[in-house]
Amino acid sequence: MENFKICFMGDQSVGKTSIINRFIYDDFNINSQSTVGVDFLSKTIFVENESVRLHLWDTAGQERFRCLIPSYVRNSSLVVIVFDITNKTSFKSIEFWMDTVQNERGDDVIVFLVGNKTDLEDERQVSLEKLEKEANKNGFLYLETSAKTGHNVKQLFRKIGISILKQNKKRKELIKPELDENTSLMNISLNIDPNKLKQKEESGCC
Amino acid sequence: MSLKNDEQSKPKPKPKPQPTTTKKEEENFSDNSEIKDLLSCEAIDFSKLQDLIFQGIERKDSKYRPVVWKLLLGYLPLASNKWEGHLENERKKYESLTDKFISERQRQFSFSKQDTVVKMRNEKYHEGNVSLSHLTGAMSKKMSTKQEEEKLKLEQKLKNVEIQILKDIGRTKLLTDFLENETDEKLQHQVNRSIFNLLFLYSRTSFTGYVQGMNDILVPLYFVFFNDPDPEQRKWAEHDTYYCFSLLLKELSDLFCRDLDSSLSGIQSRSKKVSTIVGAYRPQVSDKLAENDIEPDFYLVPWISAIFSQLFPFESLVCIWDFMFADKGHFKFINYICASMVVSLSEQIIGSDFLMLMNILQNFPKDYSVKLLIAKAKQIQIFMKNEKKAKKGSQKEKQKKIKQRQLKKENKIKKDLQVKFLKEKKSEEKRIQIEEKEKQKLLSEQKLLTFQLSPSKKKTSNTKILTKEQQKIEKRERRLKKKRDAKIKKEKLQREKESRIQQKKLLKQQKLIEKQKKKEQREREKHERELKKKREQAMKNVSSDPKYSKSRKSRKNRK
Repeated sequence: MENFKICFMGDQSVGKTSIINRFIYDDFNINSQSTVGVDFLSKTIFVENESVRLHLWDTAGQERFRCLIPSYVRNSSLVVIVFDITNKTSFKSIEFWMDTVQNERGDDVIVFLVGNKTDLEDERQVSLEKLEKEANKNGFLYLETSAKTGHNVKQLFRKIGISILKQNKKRKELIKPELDENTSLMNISLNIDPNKLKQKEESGCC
Repeated sequence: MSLKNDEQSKPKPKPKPQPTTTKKEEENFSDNSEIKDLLSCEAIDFSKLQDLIFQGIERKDSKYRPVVWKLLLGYLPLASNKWEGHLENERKKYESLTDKFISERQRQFSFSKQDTVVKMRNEKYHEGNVSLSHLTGAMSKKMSTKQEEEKLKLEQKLKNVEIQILKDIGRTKLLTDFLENETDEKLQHQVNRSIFNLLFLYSRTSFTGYVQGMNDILVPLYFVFFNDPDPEQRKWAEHDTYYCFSLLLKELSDLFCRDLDSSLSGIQSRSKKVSTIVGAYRPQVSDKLAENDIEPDFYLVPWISAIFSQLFPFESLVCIWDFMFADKGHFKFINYICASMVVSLSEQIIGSDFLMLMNILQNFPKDYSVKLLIAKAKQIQIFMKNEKKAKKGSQKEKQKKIKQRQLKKENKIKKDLQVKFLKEKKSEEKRIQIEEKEKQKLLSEQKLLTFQLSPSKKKTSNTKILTKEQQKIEKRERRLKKKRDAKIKKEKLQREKESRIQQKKLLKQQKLIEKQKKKEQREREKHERELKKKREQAMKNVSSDPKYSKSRKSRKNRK
């Protein structure tokens, strides 16, 4: 069974820990302690007849811990950026979190945008369309959840599992052909070399 | 103070709480009244107090804790006759601070029930937004001056801080635990009110502002003063907490500054120190953790950043803090406690894989014996001190050896020069001796000649010839003398020149050595200065937090 590292990020008190707690313990605590540094939990899920072990890294949203985050993003196969739909600023700082991810990993990681607290519909400040726009612009996955009611939380982790498996298969497929090519490395090199030489000669003539 | 009233409470034999009691604890037991004795002195010996509290405060002595903490943190003066006046002054000052910084609107917050804090924070949140939009509307209508803009910004900033503090008050575990067990709504309100006032005031009066996590440190401090057995002191818990909290955070400011995280004293450097301590004390443990790619940040940051306040129940936490405050190494004991925690898990650590390790390290047993933990921490502290001594000793030896080598070299050069000098002197002497011998020979020849000539003096014809011969000899002698003198003079001059050159050489070498020494000193001083500068810069950066946020905004705008 393969392990996959998943990193939860986002402003403080948007509900990162609560989403994870809902998923793992099916429990919700309105006054959950703020995360300090990082929390780690793991759970195995079954997706498309395959079992996948998820390593969930729950990072702290507090400003004073932000310098630690790059080390958590490293080696993660998927990053979940959570914001609070009743808090505009938490949505705005998605950009900041994207930057930290891209600085560390480039585009080599799946990103999931999650708007939490749909139970507080009356206080909503960020519409679903906005989230959709933001996600489509960057090619991210997106979903709205409520850790309090459990709305979409299972869905979220199912989607995470599926997309991770997909990417994993892609990677394996990418690696396999390379291996096949390795056997006929000689041909390739013979094929390529004359062209290169020609190009070089041409450039030399000019 | 009520300390003098507690004289009736003499140490009573108490059943040993745990089978782990050692000789040390028995010693502590006999020392029990010492805290009281020390506190009733007119001028309290600070280092004695530190030593005494570093032995731990027994449960029956816990009534002294508020006073002891105030003393150890530097809030109370050491002369006990000054306490009353000092406290009165400081408390008045605090009153004026609250008058200045806590607004009318904030005074009307009601914190009677825990849920209301959450509700209210949401209401306030909306209020904040409404007022902001209202204000921005006003701004667009009238071209407001810069001052007004700044005012608006400040107001918005304060609102954000307020919302943050209200949120965090609801998320402080020690506080929520207390509120759950407390049925008196007035008390609930009072405690919440005080915590809010304290955090908001601190955000206005300190250069770091409010940083999340401060709540976790403030609440235990407040509860200690809030539970003071002396009702006269209990009244002023909020006032006293403010000053003690400020003093404590001065010492721990490194834990609450983002810019300092990777600097020398930040959280990361602290966690690195702990891992080096563990590496020195139990290399197998640190090897095991490194094998599984478990970085010290993963478990140490939660421990250090809130100084264990999220790990242990209140009673244990307070005991740990006793040692922390009494430590003479300015809270370095935190590092040893952390190391002790890791070491205490070593048996479990060695037989685990990654998942188990993370589980073990992130869920430190809450009921772990504080006494054991502290005892081990002290052991590790002593171990590390010895290690350092050994290292320092070896370093000193190295330096000594280097110095000795230098001295030997210098001595050799000197000796060589001396030997040369001596040789030359000897050769001179030899020359002089030889010359003298020659002189004597010549003289003897002359004597012989005169002796031979003397009988022939009688014959005048002979004498004339002889005198001519004598003159010739004398002339020869004079020439020889002149030659000799010239030679001797030349040699002397040469010798003097050589000696001068050699002396110059010696001086040059000495100067060079001195220069090298000075250079080394300068480099050391430079290094120290740079370190200081870095620290100061870091502190400045922190103090200019608003700029920092501005730069971030401007970056965003560019994008």
